[in-house]
Amino acid sequence: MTAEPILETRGLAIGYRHHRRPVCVVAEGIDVALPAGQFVCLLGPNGAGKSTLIRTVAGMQAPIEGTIFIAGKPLHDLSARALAQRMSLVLTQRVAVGMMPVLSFVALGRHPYTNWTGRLQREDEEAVCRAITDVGIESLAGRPVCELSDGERQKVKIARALAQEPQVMILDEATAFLDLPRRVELMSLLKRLAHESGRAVLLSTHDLDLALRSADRLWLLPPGGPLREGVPEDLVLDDAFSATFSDGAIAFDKESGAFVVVGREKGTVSLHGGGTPAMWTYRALERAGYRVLPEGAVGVSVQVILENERPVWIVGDAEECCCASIEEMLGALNERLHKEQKEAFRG
Amino acid sequence: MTKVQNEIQTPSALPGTVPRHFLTRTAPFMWGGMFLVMAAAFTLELSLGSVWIPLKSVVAILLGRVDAAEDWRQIVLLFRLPKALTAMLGGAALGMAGLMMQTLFRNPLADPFVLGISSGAGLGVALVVMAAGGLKWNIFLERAGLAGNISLVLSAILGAIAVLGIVLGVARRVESNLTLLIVGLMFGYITGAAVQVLMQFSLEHQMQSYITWTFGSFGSVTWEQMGVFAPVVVVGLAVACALVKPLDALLLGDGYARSMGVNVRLVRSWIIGGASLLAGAVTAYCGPIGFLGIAVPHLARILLKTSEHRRLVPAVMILGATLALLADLISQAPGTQMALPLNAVTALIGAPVVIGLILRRRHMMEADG
Repeated sequence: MTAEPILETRGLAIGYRHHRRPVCVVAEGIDVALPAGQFVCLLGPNGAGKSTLIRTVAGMQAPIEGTIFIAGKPLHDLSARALAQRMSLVLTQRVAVGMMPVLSFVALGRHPYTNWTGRLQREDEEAVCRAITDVGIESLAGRPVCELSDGERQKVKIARALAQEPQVMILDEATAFLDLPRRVELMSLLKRLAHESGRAVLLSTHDLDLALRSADRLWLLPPGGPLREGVPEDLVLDDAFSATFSDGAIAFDKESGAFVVVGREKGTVSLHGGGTPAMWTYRALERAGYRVLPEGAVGVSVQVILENERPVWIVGDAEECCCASIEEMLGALNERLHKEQKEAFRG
Repeated sequence: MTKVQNEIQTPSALPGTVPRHFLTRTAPFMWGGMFLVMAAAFTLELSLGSVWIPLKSVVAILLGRVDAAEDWRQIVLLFRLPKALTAMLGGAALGMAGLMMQTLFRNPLADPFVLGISSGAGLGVALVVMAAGGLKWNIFLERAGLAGNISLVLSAILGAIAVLGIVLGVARRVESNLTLLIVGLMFGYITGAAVQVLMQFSLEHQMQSYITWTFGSFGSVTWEQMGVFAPVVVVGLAVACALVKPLDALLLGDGYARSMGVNVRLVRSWIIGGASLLAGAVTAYCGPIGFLGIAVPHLARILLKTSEHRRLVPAVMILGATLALLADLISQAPGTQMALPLNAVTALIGAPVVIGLILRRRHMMEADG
């Protein structure tokens, strides 16, 4: 790693101290570094302690053990203002600022730099404008925050965090509740911000697929720890991914880079054909519970061909059955399966 | 410092598409209008009442000219002027206490009452008055002298701080605003019950004076008492003005505020202290006046279309003073010899405002769900 780590943990144990109850350790032995200019995603199943880790490295919660270093200095030695100049947050909680216009909201990010009256100097105004352009919300600047959609609101929150001109930006589940295009947009925005500004960006998310595709590095937090860290593809090949997320019903499929539901298989299908229709046929078959094998293998054959620019599905070899849609194809397969089962029963 | 970004844009490269709202201010008409209404209400307050005094004479008396009738001079200088000042200070104080509570608890329905501050102050007052023995409320205030006045205000403020402290202690455990509101209301009932128990053991005229006190009035503050009341309120308002920046940060919630460099614990104590000072002082001298605390901040938000405290704080002072003057004007029912209880009037103005706000929810601070 060439880049200097901006955030570093040493021997970190996270968890909760309850009054008059034993300390509840969620994960321990976390030694991890957040390099400058990189977009890092923190992944882990529900309950593994993602939020606890985020809250701990953000200084909102005391660690059970170990130290967090921000640019070489222990986090808990920094004053609130000094910390705010180095780190900014985007949290899950809804911001209820009512009638405040977006511009003023983003300007709140300048608090660690302004005096007690909160009056903005020229460089503060410039930082606010820069944050707004970097996130691409110029057109929202005059609108009240309460009238924004969830996606817009999320961008505004990011702009506010950016206006704080931090060295590290930490976002807790910032992509939750957004639709897929919005999530993709947000992820690429965060990645761009990290790369262009030299800031470190840490995002906790449930979006495995997107994180795999866009993060520079991943932090994987399995239940009970220890945290695994590395380049996404390495972690997939290492089986760190499967180890973190697999349980009885769901398995991580290295081939497709996606999760598959482990269930009773209905039957085996060999799929012939290529292109987009074949890809979606594959997904439909998988969804319906068939084990799909590549061409030439055993099982019922399903062939996708193009007839007058439209896909057509041919099910079976002997008694060929032609279907005009995936729905029909699945119906035909189901019928065949029933017939086979009946015959097997009689025989 | 944190100049980590590689590319720092020159100011000239600033996009023209970002409107420079930094420079534009809320319409000056709005501020001018608010001032004018306040000035008009102030003048009317001096001129109207059981005796109508023409504006010209009022001005003459205020300017210290001797040609005005002596009885008018007495009425204006000894009764109406302190009353008008009390109303303005009291209205500003209650509005500000309400604003601070609404921001601190991030709840649009918070006010000094709902969270039990005023009830606590009331209990403090009841303890002092009833313990002091068979004196009427007004007479007590008059005879108590400076030391007595301070002790009275102090007990009201202590009562307010005590109740709000308990509510906040609970707040740290529950985190839900709704639960907190219920807890605050319950404390209101408990202090109310304590007052009732006190009344059970008190004399009839003490009870009578306590009930009169609950009606609320700006008229019982003499010039001497003003010497205690005004400084306390001014200190409370000054605390609020100094808290403008952290109050803005608190709009986003504790977590964000902390991440923006705010010492939340310290600021919270200052807010509670300031609000208790304001609500306590007003409750001690004017009685438990309702609705101004909740309605004034919302009115300011609606008129200025913002929730930034830099603008809300001065607006709340002006609007609070104006509404209190208007409420007092109405309560005197000019032209008649009777007077309505002040609390009835503030409720008659305030309740529709609150209902209207709930129906137009997005103008409120959006209660956190």
